[in-house]
Amino acid sequence: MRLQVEAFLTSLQLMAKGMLGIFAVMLVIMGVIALLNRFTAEKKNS
Amino acid sequence: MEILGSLEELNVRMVVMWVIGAVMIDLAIRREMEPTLLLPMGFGCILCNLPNSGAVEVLETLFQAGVANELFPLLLFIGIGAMIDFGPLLADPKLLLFGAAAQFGIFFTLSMASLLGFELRDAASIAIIGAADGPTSIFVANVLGSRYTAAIIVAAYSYMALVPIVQPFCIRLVTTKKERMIRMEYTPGQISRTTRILFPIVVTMIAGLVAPDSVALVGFLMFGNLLRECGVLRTLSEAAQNILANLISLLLGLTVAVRMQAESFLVPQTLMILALGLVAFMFDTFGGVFFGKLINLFAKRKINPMIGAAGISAFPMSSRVIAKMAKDEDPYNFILMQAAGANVAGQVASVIAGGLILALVGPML
Repeated sequence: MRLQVEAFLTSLQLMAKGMLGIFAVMLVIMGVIALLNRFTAEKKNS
Repeated sequence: MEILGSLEELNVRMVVMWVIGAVMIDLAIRREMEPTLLLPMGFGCILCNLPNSGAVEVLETLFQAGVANELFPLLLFIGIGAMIDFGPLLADPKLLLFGAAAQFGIFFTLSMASLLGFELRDAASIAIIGAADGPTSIFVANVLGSRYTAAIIVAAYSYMALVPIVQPFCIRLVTTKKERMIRMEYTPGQISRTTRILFPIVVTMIAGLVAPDSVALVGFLMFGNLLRECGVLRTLSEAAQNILANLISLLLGLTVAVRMQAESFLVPQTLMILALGLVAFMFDTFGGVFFGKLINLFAKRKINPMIGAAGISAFPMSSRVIAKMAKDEDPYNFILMQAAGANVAGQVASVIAGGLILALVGPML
């Protein structure tokens, strides 16, 4: 079985893009949830 | 019709597949490991490996009708979405990052599969086993046109059932007892109904804009969740969680078995895929745990790095496993809610990962 080093190196680029992509999307969703929680929270009685 | 004539066509490989089918049935019944899928798959495996089996044509029809066009996994996702309570995640949105980190195994496995010589479409399909999510694995493998769909599905569901064995082993390998004993305070936030209703809609739109290929996966999951959270469609939500999910699971398991015929399943690549599937789960766990450790380098209030491992999408088993591990180390350490939050975050992250795999790999094929 021959190891495909070139394919491996290409896949590392996919790894970088994929992980960055997931974190980016999660950060956006985090921000949206924070905004939703802030603007839809029930107002506390003073 | 010749009686017993088909016995001439019986060969050793078919018998091996009977054994594999029997093992799957045994795991499903005696050890209750993912019985919803493993039992139909095991029985289907036997059905499809009888000489001149009359079941193959029927199951192939079902396969084309529901698996080849990704219909069954998407319908199943409606049911899964209706089962999920995103409350713990909405109360602590930073848990989403653990969900992201725990998808590392997908891309690590993509690299390993590529290194071992699998074609890119197959390497990516094998990698998505790391999503720890059956419908996502089936969906991506089908869209990419992988030749190894059956092995991928068997691996995905088998390892999901093995989470209580794989994850504790991996976690103990990379954490200290002191780290596993870190206590975390849980402050239940009041999540408004509006947030719960808007969350599935907003996530679908974000995912769709970033990775259009993920819209089907994310959209169907979030539609199920919207049915649950809207509060006015209780019967539909219950139908999705029970009738729809069970019916599709029943058909899915049986149907996928048509790709478990001996000639195509008993090849060296199947063993490699099973091994790579294990790698995917292990590195998902490592990815989540190491992210937790990284956070602890900077955070004032330490987090228990084990919740990173709960970022895998095997819901709800992973969160229960991590919560139990924490209690085993310290009987007064309750991290179930944080683990559950990370676990549902993993569900979101895994479908996003599936969409990204399609978006990144698709154009390269």
